[in-house]
Amino acid sequence: MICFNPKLNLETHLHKKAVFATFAPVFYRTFILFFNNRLIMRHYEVNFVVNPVLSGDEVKATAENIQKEITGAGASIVHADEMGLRQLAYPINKRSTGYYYCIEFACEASEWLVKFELNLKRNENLLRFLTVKLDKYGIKYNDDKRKGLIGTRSKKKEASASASAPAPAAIIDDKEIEAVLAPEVIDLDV
Amino acid sequence: MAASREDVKFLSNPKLGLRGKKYCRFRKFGIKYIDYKDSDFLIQFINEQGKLLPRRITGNSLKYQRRVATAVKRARHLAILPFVADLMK
Repeated sequence: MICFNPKLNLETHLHKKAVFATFAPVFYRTFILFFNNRLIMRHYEVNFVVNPVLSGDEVKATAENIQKEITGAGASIVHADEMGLRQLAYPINKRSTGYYYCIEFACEASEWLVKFELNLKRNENLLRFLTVKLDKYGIKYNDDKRKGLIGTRSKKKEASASASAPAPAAIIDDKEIEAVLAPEVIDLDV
Repeated sequence: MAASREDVKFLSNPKLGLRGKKYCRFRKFGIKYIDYKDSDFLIQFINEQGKLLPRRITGNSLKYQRRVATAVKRARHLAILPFVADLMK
């Protein structure tokens, strides 16, 4: 129903205005804090492949140097993942393997990243590197992966598959062997 | 006497129409992030030569096809996936 009483209407309007005026600073403060936290803290991920010709200590030293550079620039390391020696999909500088590292870090300013990438480029111990900015889903994915939420289902499937697999596989092998042997016998007879 | 199904000869494969409609797996299962380090997952979106499969075949939506493409390209740069290959699968 439409309210025809102007007095009442004005009163409610004034009341709303008063409530907003008293709480306005609180609203704005929370708003600014929320966006400051969200916009300025950014997550990045740097991957690099270390030359396998180096000794184990040298490989670790190069990885530590890079981590020191990250922390020295005011960024906090969220997680440093050492994936170890892996086969490359194609040879790089006549090397077919490499030590993979993946470091996730959070920082407020991003200007130093240009310099950081230049340093990685100049580093002769590295075969490859890649710096990626993570979106909110990427951060969540990495977090879940560390907790072990991702990939558990497929592992269970694999485990059940491997448990049931050996018996049929053996039977198939026997049949194949028979099939292979049979023609030879016939050939010998002829 | 009714002819059994084995006796009937079809002009085209009768199983052709039975295949379900293609769908975007990212939208269906709510996958929001594609990990470029996970080569076992990305291998589903490339062919034997290491080329990206088209949307026509994988059924991905445009948004996630683009993300798959960037993920595969990142993986290639890090030598997780090859640029060119023969008989990958």
